This record gives sequence, structure tokens and C-alpha cells, in this order.
Amino acid sequence: MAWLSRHKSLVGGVALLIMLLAPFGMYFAFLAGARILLWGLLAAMAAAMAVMMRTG
Amino acid sequence: MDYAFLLKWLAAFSPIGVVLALMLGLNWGGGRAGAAGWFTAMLVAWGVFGADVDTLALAQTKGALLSLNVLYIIWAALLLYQVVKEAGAIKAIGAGIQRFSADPVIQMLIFGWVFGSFLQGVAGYGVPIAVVAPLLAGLGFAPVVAVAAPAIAHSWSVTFGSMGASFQALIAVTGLSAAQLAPWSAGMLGVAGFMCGAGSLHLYGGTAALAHGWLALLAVGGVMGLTQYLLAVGGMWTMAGFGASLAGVAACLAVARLSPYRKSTAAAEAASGMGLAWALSAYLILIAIVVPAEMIPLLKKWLGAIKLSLDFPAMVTDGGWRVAAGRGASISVFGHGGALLFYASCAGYAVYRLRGCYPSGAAGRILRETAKSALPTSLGIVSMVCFALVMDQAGMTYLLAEGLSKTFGGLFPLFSPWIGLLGAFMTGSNTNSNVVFAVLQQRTAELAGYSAAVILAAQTTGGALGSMVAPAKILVGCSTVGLGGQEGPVLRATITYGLLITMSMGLIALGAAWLLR
Repeated sequence: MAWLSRHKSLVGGVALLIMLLAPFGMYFAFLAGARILLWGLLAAMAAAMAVMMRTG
Repeated sequence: MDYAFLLKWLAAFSPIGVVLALMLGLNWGGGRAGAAGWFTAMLVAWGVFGADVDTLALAQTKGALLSLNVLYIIWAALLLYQVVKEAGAIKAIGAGIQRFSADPVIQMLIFGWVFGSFLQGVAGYGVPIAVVAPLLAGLGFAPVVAVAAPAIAHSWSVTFGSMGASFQALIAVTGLSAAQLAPWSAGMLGVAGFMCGAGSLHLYGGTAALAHGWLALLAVGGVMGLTQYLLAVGGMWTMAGFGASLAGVAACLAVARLSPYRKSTAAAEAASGMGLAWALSAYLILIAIVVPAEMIPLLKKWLGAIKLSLDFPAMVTDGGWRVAAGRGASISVFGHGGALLFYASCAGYAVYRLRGCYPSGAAGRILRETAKSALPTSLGIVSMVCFALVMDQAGMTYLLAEGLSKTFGGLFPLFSPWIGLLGAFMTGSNTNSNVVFAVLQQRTAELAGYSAAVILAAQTTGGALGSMVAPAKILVGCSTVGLGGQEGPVLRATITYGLLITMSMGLIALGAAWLLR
């Protein structure tokens, strides 16, 4: 957690990328019926949100 | 009392409650609070409202599309600001305005109220706050006031700003004509305009500022409100916000010549080393780009030729809430407000560079500073928009409004603006608020025997006023004055005025609805 706080910009940048790109992955996973991928991307989005909540 | 409905309503409200408590109570930044709101909304949408994983996933996609639409403007607005700041023009603008009028009350009205409304007229989402906040900070206003004052002051102009996009949404979803909707909408927003101007003055200097600025407030507010009313009622509603703010600029400059406000410090501009016209050149270029891009149909069509969007299927939750199939937010790659700001940034950079305003390494610093301030804002906006979309797609937002309309029955008009405000608070957009709630308001008005035009005017006025309390917009302003992560104090400052003005609009709507019943 200390590492996350020390590298806030890097962590924030990666979180933003996940939060902006994962939803489009979910859209195409939904169209393709790839349920596991859809769940995985939703979990990645939740992880990005959790990191952001922790580090600000 | 239907306790099952009440419990469901409270569950639907819980994500908003969490965000408000964290931002106002614990001073959390928008990003952190938005993430907490997102988790709450996802849990409630799944557990209480029966939204399945597909609904939740597509809500994220719609949220990401809408976020990109907003971020395009924010990133470009921050770039423009850094281009101007690096050239030393922000300081020069402050000094130049002080030469024209050193009266802070007039400065607040010119920048926060009139110029903010003008930017809303030509650009829209978040731009007024993003551009005006650093200008006010440069003039010496406290950072919280510099963000909160334009947020309060410009909000009256949102419905008819952006070429009347929000009003157009109102017409589209209700099926009523502009002629039916315009008189009450423009009238109510005109009254709100006075209150927004007064609110910004009161925030700056309390009752002393109001006592000093009342004449300017009445004169400029009267000109802007009347111009907007005449243009809207005369069928030119796409131009109503823009025309009103232009008339406001002229009125404000005239009022500044009156003896109570005529103060100047000629030495200030000389000390800055750059004239006001040069300092403002990036913003003048912005106007020169935006006005033809919005007003020349051929150019607008050409710039808007390439649009990115996605088609979404219809979805139904286990709770029976149906989301119709349709297209998500579309992003016009070259005609978007963000694109126009980007063109202005490039042209502004060229002008300042040719004039020798930049020290070496300026371009790198501009890009670094832009990225540094854009990151926390972007995170906040994506989390806020995604949690709002989860609530919308699961039927939670609609249930909140339905609860208000059921509970207050005959007093419903009193609460109509609050429903509009709720929609704008959630989505940061008057247009989205009208899209989500206008039909509900219209049906409720018809069932209760009230004039739909009055109720819908209250809806769009509340939606416009929601701009001053929408965390997504507050985030934008905070990032431009170095208040990133400290949105709580700004929201506390705007929320008092937002609630008071919305309450007043509710009283006007109630009186008008009862009179016309």
C-alpha cells in the first residue's frame, strides 16, 4: 500500500486507463457472449475503483 | 405509507448519500467519493433492483462513452489554461481588468457571471468554470471562491447555452413545441439569473458586496434575462443563451463606467508587461473559432462529419425496469467542444510563441502540467459518471423522482426543480437531467392537472441550477486552481446557494401552477 501511495501518478494513470478501456472490452465481450471475459473486466474495473478509493 | 417503496427509495438514495457524506462530512475528494458511490450503486443495483451483470457492464460502457465526451472538453480546457498561464497571460489579464475596473464586485460580475454565461453559451460542459476559475484566482480571489462563484453564477445560462442543447432535449422527449415551453422556461431562468449573480456576489463579500453591487446586478441581470426571454420566445432559442450573454457583456462594460464602480489602477497593466488584448488573445481566438463552428451550418456539418458512438441493446432488470435500445453518447471528433478548445490552444500557443512570451522548455512544461492536473479530475469524473449511469440503468434514479412526485402530491410543483437538480447532480448535465426526468414531470403534471409548461420549466431550471452542485463540474474547476482533491469545501460553498435558489424556483413554480390550474 505504501508503494501505491508513493507512485500515485503511475497508479492513477493505470487506474484511469482501466476505467476507460475496460468498459469497451465489456461491450464487445457482451456482444461475443464471452461471459468469463466480461466478469474479468468488471472485476478489473472494481479493482481500479478500490485502488482509487484507497489512494485518492 | 408504503414501507416497501420507502425502503427501496432509501436504497436508491444510498449511493448519493454516501457521496454527499464523504465529500461534505469527511472532505473526501471527488474521485475517492465517486468510487465509494460506484461500489454502493453497484451493490444496490444488483441486490435490490435486480440488475444483472450484463446491465451493469453496459452501464459502464455508456458511462465510459459519456466520460470521454466530458473529458475531451476538460483535457482541452486544461491545455488552453496551461498555454495561457505559461505565457504569463493569466497575471496580465488580472492586471488588465484591474486597470479597467479595480472594483472586485464588477470583476466578479464580469468574469463569474457574464463571461461564464458567455462561455456556457458558446461551449458548454464545464468550460465556464474551468476557464473562469483560474482567471478569478489570478485576480486575487480565494481559490474556493474562484471555483464556487462561477459555478453558481453561470448555472442560470445552461439550458439555453450550448446552442440550446438542453432545451432541445426537453422539446424532443416531451413532444411539446418550443413555443409552448419557451416562455415559462426563459422567464424562470431569467429570475434565476438574478439570484445566481447575487449568490456569487454574496459568496465573495457577503451582504456588503450585495449592497455595493445591487445596481449592476439589476441592470446586467435585467438585460441578460430580457434578451434571453425575447430570443427564446421569438423562436431563436438556439441563440438565446449566446445572445443574452453578449448583451450582458455590453451592459456590464457600461455599468462599470458608472461612478460607484469606476475605479482603475493604470499601473497594474504596465507592471505586467503584456497588454490585456494580447493576454486575452487565446480566449479571443477561442471565440473566433467557436462562434462560426456553432453558427455556420455548413461548417458545423463538416466538423461533425465523423462521430464515434456505440449501439446498445434493450435491457430489462429482474425488478422490471426496462432500458430502451439506442445509441450511446456520440463524440464528434473534430466538431466537439473539446476539439474547438484544442484548436484554440494550438493557435494561442502559436500567437504567444511568436510574441516571445515563452521561455525555453515551455511546451514540455505545458504538457506535463496539463497531464498532472487532468489525472485526478479524470478519475473523479469517470467514477462519478459511471456510478450515475449504474443508477440510471437500474431504474434507481427514476424511482427517486417517482418517490418525490408521489409523496408531495398537490405540492408537487414545489419539488419539480429538485428533481431536475437531482438529475444534473447525478450526471453533471442539464441535458441528461431533462432526458431522464422530463417525461416523468410531464405525466405527473398532467395527472395532477397542472400546466406541463410550468412544471417542465421548473424541471429544466432545476437541471440548470444543478450545474453548481454537480461534483463532476466542481472537479473541473478545482483542477484548474490547484484544489484537486479538495472539492468538499467548494461543494459546501455552492450547495447553500443551490438549495436556496432551487427552493425559490419551487415556490415560483407552485404559484404559477396553482394560478394556471
